[in-house]
Amino acid sequence: MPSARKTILVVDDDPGMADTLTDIFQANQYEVAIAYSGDAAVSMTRRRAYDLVLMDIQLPGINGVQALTAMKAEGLAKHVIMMTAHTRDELVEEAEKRSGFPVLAKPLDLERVLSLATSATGRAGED
Amino acid sequence: MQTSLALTTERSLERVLQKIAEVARNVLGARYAALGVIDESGTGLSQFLTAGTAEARKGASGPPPMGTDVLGLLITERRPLRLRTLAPHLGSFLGVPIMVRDRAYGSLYVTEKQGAEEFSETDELLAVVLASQAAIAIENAYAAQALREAQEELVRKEKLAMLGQLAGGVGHELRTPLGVIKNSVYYLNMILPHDEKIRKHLGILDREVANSDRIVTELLDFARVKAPVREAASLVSIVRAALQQVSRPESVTVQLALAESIPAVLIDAHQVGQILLNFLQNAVQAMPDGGRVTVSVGEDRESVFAAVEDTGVGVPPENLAKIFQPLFTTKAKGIGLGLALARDLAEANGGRITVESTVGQGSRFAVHFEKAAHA
Repeated sequence: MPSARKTILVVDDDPGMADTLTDIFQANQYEVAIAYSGDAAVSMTRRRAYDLVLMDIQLPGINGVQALTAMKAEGLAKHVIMMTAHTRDELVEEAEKRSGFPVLAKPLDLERVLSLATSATGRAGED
Repeated sequence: MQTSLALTTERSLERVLQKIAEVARNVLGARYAALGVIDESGTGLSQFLTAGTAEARKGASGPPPMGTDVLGLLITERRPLRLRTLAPHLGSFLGVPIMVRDRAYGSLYVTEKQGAEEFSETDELLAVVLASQAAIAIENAYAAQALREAQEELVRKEKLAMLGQLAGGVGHELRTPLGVIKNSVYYLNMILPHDEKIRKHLGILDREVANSDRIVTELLDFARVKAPVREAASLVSIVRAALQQVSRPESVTVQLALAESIPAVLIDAHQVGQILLNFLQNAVQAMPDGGRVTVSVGEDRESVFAAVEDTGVGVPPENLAKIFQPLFTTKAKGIGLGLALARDLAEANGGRITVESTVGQGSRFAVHFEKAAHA
């Protein structure tokens, strides 16, 4: 079972957000890593593959959409789900187009986050 | 010369016009002088000042009606009129229109020339000069009023813009900590043993986060009034969608009067939906002990409208003008942005909001839009 754990990279510059999401995913049997900026996220995905990247749009340095674009261009991440507190930002539409997932609004609906994570990482039926 | 000096020192229009009427009577040697200013509708007089009549009699007779009589003639013909007898037993008459460029603001007239049978050409000239003084005074007053209104509107808009910026900033900043609290609550719900008290308090936290998020959403909606995307839309469908979104207790019943066949209007359906949702929420909140909400969509000659009527507490007359100002609220909960936002959204969509209310009986809020031109 531990070897079959799916991996998630949480990308958020707010430590509280990153920490709480980490705890929730870990309690749901995921292996979690954290990046606090878009640049860090891109280099972490270069080093290893994650089953899912959950990334905020508003980040210091390159923003989430730019990081997403870089990951997709280099084939670094198969599934990227974006989230934002700015639901009407112009970046939202672009994020949805590039990620193929709806952008999640903060405060997050955690049930939905977990079910999306399950289907994105192909863990369906596991729990 | 003395006259015009006196005129410029007088500040109120009414006093200026009264003075002109008095000067006209003295200078023109008339028994009686009167000055009338046409109201905005053009059918009555907004000002009517006389000289040479006892106050009691003036009050009893009131201003003359605007019509086809000799006073109406001054306005429509736009030239002075001098008569030896106005009517049997009424004596001589001299009247001039009060004009600025080609707009007639009213008329000045004198009757019963003292010491002569009729008013002279010189009298007529003097009357024209006096009328032009009155015209300037009236136009200045209108200009001052327009300026005042423009300034007030500017202040309101600036206040709204500033509030919008603040609301947007605060709203976004609050979303992150609220999101973190919500995550923590979710996590605790997952790992803590089942204990009634713990569940209760986690439930409270969750609910209050949701309440806070609603306030934030209201702030953000207010901060971001985008330029509307206006397309032909059906008010009936917008009303139906808004009804789905509003939560109401069972003690509040809804009655519908939707004219399905009314013409489409050019509006941003999302923004107008926000207006109606606000009306509906207000209606529900105005009836804490329950009641009836009547939602109607209909049309009159120029416009189509959607209205929400409640049987709630009503708005006192002194608050009716204030309820559209940002930050004005009489509710224990709420920041007072709902109707301010609704009004801005209505105006952005070429519409207007009307309100009727009776304390203790209820209120009716309606938004009207011009009918879309048909091809």
